Amino acid sequence: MEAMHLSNEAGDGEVSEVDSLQLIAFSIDEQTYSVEITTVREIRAWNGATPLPNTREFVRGVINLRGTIVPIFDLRARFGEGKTEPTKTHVVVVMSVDEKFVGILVDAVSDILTVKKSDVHPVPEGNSSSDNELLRGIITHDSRMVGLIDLHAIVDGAKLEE
Amino acid sequence: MSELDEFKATFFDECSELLIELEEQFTAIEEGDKSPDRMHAVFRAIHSVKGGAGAFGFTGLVGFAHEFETLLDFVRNDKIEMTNEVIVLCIRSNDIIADFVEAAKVGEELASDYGAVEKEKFISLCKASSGDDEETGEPVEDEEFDIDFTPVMINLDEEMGDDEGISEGWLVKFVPHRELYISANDPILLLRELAEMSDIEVKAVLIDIPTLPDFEPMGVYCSWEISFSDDSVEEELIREVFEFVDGDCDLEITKIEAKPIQEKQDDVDFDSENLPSFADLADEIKPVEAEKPAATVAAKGTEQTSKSPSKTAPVAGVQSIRVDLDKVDRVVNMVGELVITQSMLTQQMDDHLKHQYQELIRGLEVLATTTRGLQDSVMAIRAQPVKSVFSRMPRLVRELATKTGKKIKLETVGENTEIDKTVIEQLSDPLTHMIRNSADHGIESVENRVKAGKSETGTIRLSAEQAGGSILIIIEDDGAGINRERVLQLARDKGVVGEDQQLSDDQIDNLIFAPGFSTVEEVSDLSGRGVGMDVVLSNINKIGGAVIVKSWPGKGTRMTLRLPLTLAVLDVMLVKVGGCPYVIPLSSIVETIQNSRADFGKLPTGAKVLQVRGEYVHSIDLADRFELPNDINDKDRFVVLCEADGTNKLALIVDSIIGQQQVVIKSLEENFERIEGIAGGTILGDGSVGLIVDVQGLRNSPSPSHRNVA
Repeated sequence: MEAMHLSNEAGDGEVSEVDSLQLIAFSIDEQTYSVEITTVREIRAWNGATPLPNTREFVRGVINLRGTIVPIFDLRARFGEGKTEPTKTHVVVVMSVDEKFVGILVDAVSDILTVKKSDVHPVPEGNSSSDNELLRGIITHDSRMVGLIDLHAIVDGAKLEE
Repeated sequence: MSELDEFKATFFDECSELLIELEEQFTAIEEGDKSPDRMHAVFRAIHSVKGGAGAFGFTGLVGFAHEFETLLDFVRNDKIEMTNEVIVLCIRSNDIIADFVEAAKVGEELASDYGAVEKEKFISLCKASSGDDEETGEPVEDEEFDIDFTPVMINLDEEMGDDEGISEGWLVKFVPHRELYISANDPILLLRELAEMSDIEVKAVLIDIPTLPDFEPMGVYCSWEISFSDDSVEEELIREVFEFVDGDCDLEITKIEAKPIQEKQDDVDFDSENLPSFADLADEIKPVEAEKPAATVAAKGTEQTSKSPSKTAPVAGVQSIRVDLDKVDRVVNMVGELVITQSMLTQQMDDHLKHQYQELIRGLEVLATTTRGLQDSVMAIRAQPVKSVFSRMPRLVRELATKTGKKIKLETVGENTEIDKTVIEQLSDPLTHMIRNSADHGIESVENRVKAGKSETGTIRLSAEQAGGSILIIIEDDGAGINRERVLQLARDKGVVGEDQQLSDDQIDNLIFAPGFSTVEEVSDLSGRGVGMDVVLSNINKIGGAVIVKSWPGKGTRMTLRLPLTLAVLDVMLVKVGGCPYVIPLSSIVETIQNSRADFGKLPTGAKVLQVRGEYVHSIDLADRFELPNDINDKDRFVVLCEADGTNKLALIVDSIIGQQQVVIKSLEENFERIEGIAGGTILGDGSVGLIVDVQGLRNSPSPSHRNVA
């Protein structure tokens, strides 16, 4: 799994320009987060999901993506800020992670950013390890902070603790 | 995958087909059918295995197959009589070949002396009769096998040439190509040469000659059919005549039998030295019995003169085109989508629209019919005869008989019954295990059988039949039946059944499927592979099937597997729980009851039990179990009584029942993970996702409060 993850990243690097990253930025409340554009498959309006029983709170359920069942994670809930009360303006960003399709529920997609790889700062060590786990880095864009989300952490965390 | 790997994969595919065929042939031979055709089919199959194995350098396999082949050659030439001893040796050798193939497949090395005993026997048998034989040409004492063996695909017709007595002559079809004329050959010379050999009748086939406007001056349109009125001429001699034009013409030599001669249609101009499967591709996709190898060519096909392959490639067993299963699955999935889309469209037509667009409605109806037809056809592609699984069983029974010292006969019925390929794949293990169980625990030892006044040989009968929308696979033995006293005692000892619990005979019989249950005190190396019959049950349940055991003390046991025809489409009942759509497989539903009429009792732990006709059934409130909001008046809810397996029932409490429908099963694990109590997902008519309730899983899993992720 880990090896696959690494090779994916290497592959992404080749697709975009060698030292730059293209990101899709979206917002949750006032905070902006981003994911690499190469992982994004589509963005669709929130149209409800079938809840999955006995899963963790941030698993909003599953949707039908042209015949494939795709799980939707509530990013706000994932960050421990409570469940999103979705409206029609909320969007689902469908991404492919390790050959799996997953969707994340966010408030709105705001921008496409092109940043230098060297501009991705490490997440400062804090007292909570979960920040480090969920973010791969922090980018400054228009003097605002944009978190670069670690998709694997989002997906892996969905599993119930053993 | 490298090209070589692909060839290898093809080789192994073919080997498994050939081994299935060999098994069939030997079974027939064992039953007394020693016709030369069977011997030829066996010889050919072994030769094909050897040829392929040589190409890939599986020397162990080649060496063994070579000696086996030599023996078979003697047998088919009546140099060695097909005594029972020889048959047993052949069958054993067949198993060894299978082992070699399997070892080669997984890349293992078998012991260097593997099969040496049998090899010795071949050699001694052959030696004993080789004094008067020169025809086989191959040195029998070829113990040090030459690794540089060049695989040459056997030429069927040559091999068949020395077949005595059956044929009444030859029919030679000679279709010259343009190249033949370009290299200055003249058909008349060839025909004259043939005329010198025997009485022949030459007929020119002129049907292909086009009308003048289409006539190409350099074109070749004429071919000939030459019939030999007797078979005194060796086929090889006929072939020799055409030796110099080999490759520049299509040549087909068939035996003339009493039947009217028909011609084989085949417009693929291929090289006969190719692997047999390529020939299969061009052939009709109809299984052709291997019993009449040479005659098949004459007996089937359409009445049409056209080019024929120069030589008939060995054709045996199931003929098929090889299609990657992924490709078929993709079609199946797309058709599934089509079905869903179609039903979505239909649902979205409200009355107003229906009135307005009647033409559109009619179109949708046609679409519905067509989609259903398409779905059926696609499912038929995936269907396979159960033969591919059944054919592995005779060997298993032989081995079991040897190991247990019992005499066991296996009868198979209905091998051609077709089931979805995915079901078949899931079938092999449970079936193997159940047969092991029958042989190990069911059939008694010879002494005990004689004591009980039965014949020495026990019979296991394996049958398959279609019954409505399901397939029944029945494994029946005439053994001792289930020892109910011992089963019950063991179940009590192991705590599967409470001390005071009273069970009916059927319930006791089904205890053998209880988890962690095994009736044999000492674990034998046959059944005791660390899996009990409970694994059989869960495997069968996983593919939507059920197992029912019935036993008659002293007379035998019958295990019935009920399997769905296909896994891709499921008949379900759509229900709502906590506002969410859930579907319950219709096959597991016994009845539905209004909650207000249901008779519930409470156990000390707070668990509810439902009383139905004097039976107490464990009940689960799906809203509680799935932690869903429950704001519907209890009185208005429904109870769905399900049958989790053969005898155990389970009552599910749901909010409302929407109706029945067909759904296409989708995997949740593909993008997510397995969720306990949920067997999968499906796309409903409105495009939303419905979750399939895993009835069996719910019964076995604890409630969420003490749940632990499996």
